[in-house]
Parts: sequence; C-alpha cells; structure tokens
Amino acid sequence: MAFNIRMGLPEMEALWIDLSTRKQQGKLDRDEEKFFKKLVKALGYLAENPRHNSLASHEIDDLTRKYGIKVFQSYLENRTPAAGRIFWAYGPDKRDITVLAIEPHPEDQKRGAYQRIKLSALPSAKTQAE
Amino acid sequence: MFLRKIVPFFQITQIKLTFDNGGKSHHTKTMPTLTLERSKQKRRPAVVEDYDVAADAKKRISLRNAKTKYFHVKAFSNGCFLLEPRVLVSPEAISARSLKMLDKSVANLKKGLVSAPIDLSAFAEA
Repeated sequence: MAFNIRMGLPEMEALWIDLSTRKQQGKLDRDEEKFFKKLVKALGYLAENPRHNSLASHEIDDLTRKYGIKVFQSYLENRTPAAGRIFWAYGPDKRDITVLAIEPHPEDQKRGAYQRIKLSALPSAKTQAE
Repeated sequence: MFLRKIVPFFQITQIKLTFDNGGKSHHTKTMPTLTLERSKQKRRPAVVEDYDVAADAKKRISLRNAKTKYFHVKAFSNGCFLLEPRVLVSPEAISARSLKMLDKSVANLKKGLVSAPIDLSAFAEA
C-alpha cells in the first residue's frame, strides 16, 4: 500500500479493533456490517490513493487555518445526501495518513435537526417593504 | 454607584463598556455556517400584512407568505405567540462532537501520538 493508515485517537483505534475482530467472528449486526464495509472500502482507497475519485477528497480550508496543518475530508459513500465523512491529515511520518475523525452519518432531518437550527436574521425593513 | 465613590466622574465617562449584544456568541470564525448575519436594523420592521386567522379543529393556524420554513415559537401567558425565522445549519458544517474529536486528534498528531498502522489486508475483499 502507498500509505499507512493510522488512527488519531485511542477511541477510534478501539472502535476499529472491535469492529474488525467481530467482523472476523461474524458477529456484526446489519448496520455495523454496512458501516464497516464502507469504512474498509474508503480506508482502502485512502491507503492506495488519497485522491481517488470515489473519496471526493478535498481540503477544508477553515480547518486547515484553525489547526495549522492541512485537513482533508473524504466521503464514505457516494450519491448520498447525508454521506458519512472521514477527516484526515498527512503525517506524522512520510507515507502516513492519520484519520482525525469519522462521522458515520450527519444527523438527518428527523434526528436532532432542530438542535442544529440557528437563529437567522429578521428580514430588513427595506426588503419587507418591497 | 460603587465606582463613583473611588473614581472621579471625568474618568468614568472615559470607561467604555462593551458587551456582545449581537446574539452570535456561539459562532466561530473558523467554522462559518450558512446562518444569515443578523443585520443591524436602523428602523423598526414595518408591518407588511395584517390579517385575522381562525385556528382549525386541531388548533393550527396558517401563515401566509412565510419567507422561511422554520420558526422559533414563543407562547406568552397572555395568549400571544411570537415567531422568529430560523434557518438550518449548512450540512457542510461540522457537528460539535466531530469538532471535539478533531481537536483531540490534531493535538495527538502534533505530538506524534498516533496508533500503529491498521491492517486492511484481511478485509481487502470486504
């Protein structure tokens, strides 16, 4: 493989170990199986070629500016509006990629959508008059 | 009042009290959302429609020409309701949980504390 994939948090490594062990034992439930399949596929592409078309990898400028290292985002699935995402960065060594965060699926309209609603502006008096 | 006892008045007038009344203290510059900027309103909002409505059998009323899909509703004890328009955060925005995860991961990465390479070879066929 072109790159070594490493996990940035012990919790993520524990999750990977748990899922991969249970996969080998055939003890994953349907949702876990589905997620694990997507994760393995995405990490496989990431190890081979981080710029693989299926990953749609792109740098997140705001995060790059925030952390001072280039932070990229790749998708776990295609043609899905609420696709799961992986955040990753190159390093710590050459030929290393560190997975910084995995978001299995952003909360959809039903689950917790109202918590994400933020206050918007009242239309200005000018636009109201029009 | 306490300040007046120990500071001369001419100095009090020079003190600039600044506090955030913009209502967007939860916003971070690094992670902008699609939330619209709260505009500085110079004039009070004008009344553009004035009508009476009747609640239906399920005690619902309809808004005419509503500009946004979501509203925050405040019900007052005197029977009044106040609606404030709201918008959904962009799907590109990152949840607070993921951002926390990123903070920790980046701190670890900068210290060189990362896991051993994960072995994908066993699942190459998966």
